[in-house]
This record gives sequence, structure tokens and C-alpha cells, in this order.
Amino acid sequence: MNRGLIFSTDAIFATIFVVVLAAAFSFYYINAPTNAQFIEKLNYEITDAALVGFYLDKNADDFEEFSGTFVDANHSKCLKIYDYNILFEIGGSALATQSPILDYNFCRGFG
Amino acid sequence: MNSKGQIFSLDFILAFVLIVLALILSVNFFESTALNAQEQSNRSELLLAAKSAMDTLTNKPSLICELRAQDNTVLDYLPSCVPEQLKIYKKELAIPDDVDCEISQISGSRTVAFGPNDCSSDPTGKLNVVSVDRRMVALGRGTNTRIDKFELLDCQKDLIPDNCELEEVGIRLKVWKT
Repeated sequence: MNRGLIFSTDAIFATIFVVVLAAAFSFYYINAPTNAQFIEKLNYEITDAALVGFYLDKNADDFEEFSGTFVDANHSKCLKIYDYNILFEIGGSALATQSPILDYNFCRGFG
Repeated sequence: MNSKGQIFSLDFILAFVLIVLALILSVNFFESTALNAQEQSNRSELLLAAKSAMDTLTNKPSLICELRAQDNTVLDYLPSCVPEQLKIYKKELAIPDDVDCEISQISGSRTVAFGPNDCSSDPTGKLNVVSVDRRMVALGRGTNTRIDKFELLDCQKDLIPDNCELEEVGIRLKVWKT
């Protein structure tokens, strides 16, 4: 049996292997969420939590997904909210002053 | 047996079968890749529509809370603060006509009412449904969006216990092609 190289069993197996591998890679890259999508989601989540925290006197520890310190991960982000402290009240109404300034970190990471 | 012509050799038949198989596989592969790319493109378009709609809901001055001074002048608008009775109009949220949607509350002890609401279709059985969840606060005064500066300060500093009219809620928007 002096068949050419292209008709050998090895060549057929190799071709099938390459086709399957190429299909698998292209499927993965087309369907896998990109880092940009994760980062965008991270931006929304942190901004929302920071605003809710700002309105309702909550810090990062009050939300289970967030941390008050930087998260060591492939993609991390922190958002800092600055707030003023209240020093006194006049006629039952609280007045905010510009000092001292409090800052609250809202951090999250993934990867 | 060398009486058969070259064209009917076993090698030719094998080669022909292999080429046909390779062609079929290639066509199937490119078709499925094109279909995937189309689905991905639809998904990206829907995701953009949903994010944009939720951005509008959380930032558009006519939809969010108004921070007022004691003399009733508007000091500012509060992003991510919505009234407990939300009017949802697809056009106001810039949701395209060929996109259908459903808005719902997913968390929070205060019930957010949606009405009037033209974003209340049922996505059951629909393919490629994209959803976006946002955390925000709801002001407990019906459709009223006004909140006084000192009322906000009450919430922020808990000056008068249990006096805060704001509560955390989670809102989910689902969109899909009609």
C-alpha cells in the first residue's frame, strides 16, 4: 500500500484535530465575556453602591460584595466618596460644615 | 487489476470524499461562526440599550429626586434616587421601538410601583434576553420626587432615628428584540 501522505490515518486525525481545535477556540472567543464588559459592570456596581452608601450612611462593609480597602486582583477598582461631618445644630436643623472631611472607599475586584 | 482507468482509482474516490467532507465542514463552520457573530452583535445592541435606559432612569432630572432648599428652590438632582412610584415610558428611557422590555423590583423592603408603565411585557420564551440590575434608593412619597436638604441630611447622618424617607431597592430591566 503506497498511498500518499495526505491519505494516511495520521493525516486525517491531524486534520480533524486542527478543525476541532480551531472551532473550539473561535467559539470560546466569540462567546466569552470580555474584560471590558466585566470592568463596565464593576463601574456600575461600585458607583451605585457608593451613592446608596452616601445617601443612607453605609460604608463598603455594609455591602457584602465590597471592601473598604483595595482588592488585590487582576481587575480592581475603588471609588472614594467624600463627606462632611456635622458639628452642630441650629433650631433643630443640622448644619454640615466642611471640616473634618470623611472619606469612604468602595472597592471591588475580580480575576 | 490494472484494467480500470485512473479516474476510478480508490485514491481518487478517497480524495473526492475527503474534499467534499472538508467543504461541508468549512461551510458549516463559517455559517455557525457568522451566526454566533450575529447573535453577539444583537446581544451587544440589547446590552447597550438596557444600560443606556438604566443610566437614563438613574440620572435624568425629570425622573430622579430633586434636592430642595427650605425656600423650595431646586439645589440639585440626586442620581440613583427615584420616587417609589415610577413612571416608565420606553421613549423617555430611549428604548428603541424594536426592543421590548420588562422592569421589575428585585430587592428592597419598600415596594416600588411601576405605573404608568409601557415596559411590562413578558420575556418568557423569548431568546436572547439581556438584563441589567441597578442598586438605587427609593423616596417614599408616591410620585413626588422632592426631598428637602435637611431630610437628606437626616438619612445621611441618621439625625432623627427612623425618619429617613429613602430606602435601598434593586431594579432589574430586561430587554429583548420584538
